[in-house]
Amino acid sequence: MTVRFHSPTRALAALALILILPASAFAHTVGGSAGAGFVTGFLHPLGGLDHMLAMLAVGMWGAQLRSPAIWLLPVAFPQVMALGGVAAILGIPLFGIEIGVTFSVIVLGSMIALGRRPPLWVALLIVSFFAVFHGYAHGAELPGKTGAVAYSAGFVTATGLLHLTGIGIGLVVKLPHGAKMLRVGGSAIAAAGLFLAGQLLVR
Amino acid sequence: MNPPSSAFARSGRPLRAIFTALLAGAGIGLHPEPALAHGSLAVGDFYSGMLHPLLHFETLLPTVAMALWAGQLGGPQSWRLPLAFLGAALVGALVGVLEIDLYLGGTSLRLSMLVLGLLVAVRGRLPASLGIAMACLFGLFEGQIQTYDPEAKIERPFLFITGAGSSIGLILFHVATRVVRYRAFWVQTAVRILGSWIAATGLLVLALEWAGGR
Repeated sequence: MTVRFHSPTRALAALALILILPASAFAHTVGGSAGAGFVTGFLHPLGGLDHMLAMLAVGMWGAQLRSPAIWLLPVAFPQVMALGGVAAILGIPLFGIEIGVTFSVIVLGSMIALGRRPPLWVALLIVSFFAVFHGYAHGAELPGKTGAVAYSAGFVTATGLLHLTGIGIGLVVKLPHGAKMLRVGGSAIAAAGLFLAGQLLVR
Repeated sequence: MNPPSSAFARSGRPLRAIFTALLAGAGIGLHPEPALAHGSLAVGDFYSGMLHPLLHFETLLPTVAMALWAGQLGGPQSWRLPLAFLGAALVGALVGVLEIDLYLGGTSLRLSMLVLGLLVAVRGRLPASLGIAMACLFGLFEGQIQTYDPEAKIERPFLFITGAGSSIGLILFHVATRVVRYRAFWVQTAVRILGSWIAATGLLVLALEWAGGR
């Protein structure tokens, strides 16, 4: 390639294309169009604060735990979450989904705030336990046959990108005082989780 | 440091690969409109054939997963597997023209998404012959769906198949080459994460289909 753009130009071009994407995708409700289902699925995990915070927390915790966890969590999480989704689709009853999801925000936030490094298998067990709840909550809302692949791809991608964002935030541990900053962030997430739990009780 | 072991490896940078992926992603989002608006595109069967493998995640994801896995394996596998997949896809496209159903309501493609995605996620290594056999099977599915569509109006199947084949081949070799080329840890991790996403999607939709079929 002889033509080279400066990276800000590239970033802008990519951003513009991404911004155009939903407009063309929403224009069609016809099943089978790759765009429509994908965008709906993509927006789903971003709609609820509880889910979003928990996914960010998973990424942040992974970054805090460092080497194997930081890449093992984003690889393993989608599989476990999909299993939870499968349970929902097959109609296997699982009680306290909403409580589980809210509880996951509190627990994951607290783990970051505590700043301890439990053995890897303990961390994986905790995250997998909550992943089932998150997957179940999503699986229960999967659409029927039309555009199911695009929808699933969309929400798996959005969830994964939230993890990566969390990891990105978690990389502050490398800065001076970064470990403390990350723990403060964790406690903020835990506090938000408590607030959500309170809302759940009042309702 | 291992030198890139594929003859297809070329120079470039990871950022450019990501940018290309973004462009391709935006392209997928933008294309359905003109494609759906016209039953048969005026530009001809070659171009609608080229577009067809890219339009649906169902057909795009198995191809991408195949390419990622081949790239991970490296060595001669990095071009043998895509070649087997592409060859089988061409045969499959002919099978599709004869209206033989291998689609099985989408099960075949979702199964390939799940199996190939999992292999990428765990960096699975299989005996070479088994890998080739799997590439052939999944390629057959992938090719068959390109032409097996009772509602499609394909006037010149051979042009259509040539177009679809070039598209599939482009994805396979381009992606596999990139994965072979960039051995950086974060790139290889990103590849595994992508595989994990593809497998999760396949698993969910398989379950959905199974539950719907009961």
